[in-house]
Amino acid sequence: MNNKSLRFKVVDWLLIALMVLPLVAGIALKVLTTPASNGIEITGARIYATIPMPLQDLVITESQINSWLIMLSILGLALYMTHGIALKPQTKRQVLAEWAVEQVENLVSDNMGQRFIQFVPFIAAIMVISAFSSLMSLVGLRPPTSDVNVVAGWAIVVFVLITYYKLKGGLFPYVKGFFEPFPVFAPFNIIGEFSTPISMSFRHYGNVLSGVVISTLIAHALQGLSKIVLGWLPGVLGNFPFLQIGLPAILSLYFDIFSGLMQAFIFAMLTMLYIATGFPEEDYERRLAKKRARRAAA
Amino acid sequence: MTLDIISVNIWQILISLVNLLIMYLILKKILFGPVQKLIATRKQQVEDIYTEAQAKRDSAEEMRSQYEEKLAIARDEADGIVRTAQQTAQRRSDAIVAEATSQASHIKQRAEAEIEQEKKQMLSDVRGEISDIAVEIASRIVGREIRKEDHDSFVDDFIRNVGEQQ
Repeated sequence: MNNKSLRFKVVDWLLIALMVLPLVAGIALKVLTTPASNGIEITGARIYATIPMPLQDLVITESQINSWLIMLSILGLALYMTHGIALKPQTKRQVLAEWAVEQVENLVSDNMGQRFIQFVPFIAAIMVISAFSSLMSLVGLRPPTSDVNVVAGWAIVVFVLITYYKLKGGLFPYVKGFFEPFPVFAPFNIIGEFSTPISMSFRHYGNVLSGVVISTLIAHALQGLSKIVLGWLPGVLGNFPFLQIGLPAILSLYFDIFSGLMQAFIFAMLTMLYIATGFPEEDYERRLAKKRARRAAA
Repeated sequence: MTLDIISVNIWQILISLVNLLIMYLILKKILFGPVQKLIATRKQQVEDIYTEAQAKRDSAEEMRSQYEEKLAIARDEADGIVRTAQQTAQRRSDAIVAEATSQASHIKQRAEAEIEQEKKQMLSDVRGEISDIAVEIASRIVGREIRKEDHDSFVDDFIRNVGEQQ
């Protein structure tokens, strides 16, 4: 379609700007605030501000800022993908958007069944926010998923959903479930229940953080190696870490792209499976039938 | 200033939790809602088109069978017409041939009768001539006139004999 109106194009460019600018802003912020250092520093996220709050001070950190920025980017992406969609697809991005939607729909209906089809946007949200957060390390930003708090927040949402759907079978079957197969197992069952969100969040966060740590270590190691091997070069050339060119990019294929996407997929997969398998279908149907009978009698 | 590498902060957890919910709403309202609605509408349209096409095909099929029926009837009629025409022509040609044959035989008969007539005529003419010639020859031989009337019966006998010998 070459006859797009000027307005359409302007909106397109604004949306692309909405996609790109948050990342640029993040990079600018990082460059401006990170002090120069020579040593190896493996720390948590940088703190920008501390707001006093009850229980614990609220700290605004790099990972918070970055997760907001990536949300803005995703918002821009979503708007861009659906900009100018029509019954007859006129843009490639519409085909892409429809393809993505159908893929997620298939994934959800395959893993959770048709009953949970309203979970499609939620699962997509988990996958997208997790994947894009992890991929932020590609542009040199600290991935928000390397902060345990970020992933823990998501895991708590998932935990609440799991519990909510388990309770749909009634409170008694839910409580009874903890005393099976024998009452002695109750403590283990309770631990097992709470270990779900913890294991989910730690798995995700640990994987991404380890990628960050290893990348940092390798970058510094290569810098040192560069100094040893090429230090005889005169002047600035001697200090320039030539060996840092290339190899980290190959490593980031695994640590940033593969690992990040894999963890996003695993997190979404576990969410689907925990919710779908935790849902007591028989108890729910029985309760529903009873409720219906009561309503019919009334 | 940085966080420790593992530091739990409930407010951060809360913010992240809300972030995920906002992400969910964004994707639902902006991406999935419109796209799913679009796909549903398109599916409906396609179904409508299929139904319509099916209906049209059915009616076309019906029309075709009607046409075929009509065509069969028309072909039968045409066959009938041709057969009648052929029969008429056959009959007429038979009649013509029969008439021609009878006429021919008639003509032949008449011709034969005429020939017979002529033959008889010629024979009687020849007989008369021969008798004249015979009389003249005889009169020359005898030297006197032989009256034809006197010797008619004689001449006649002679000629008859000649005729029988021939």
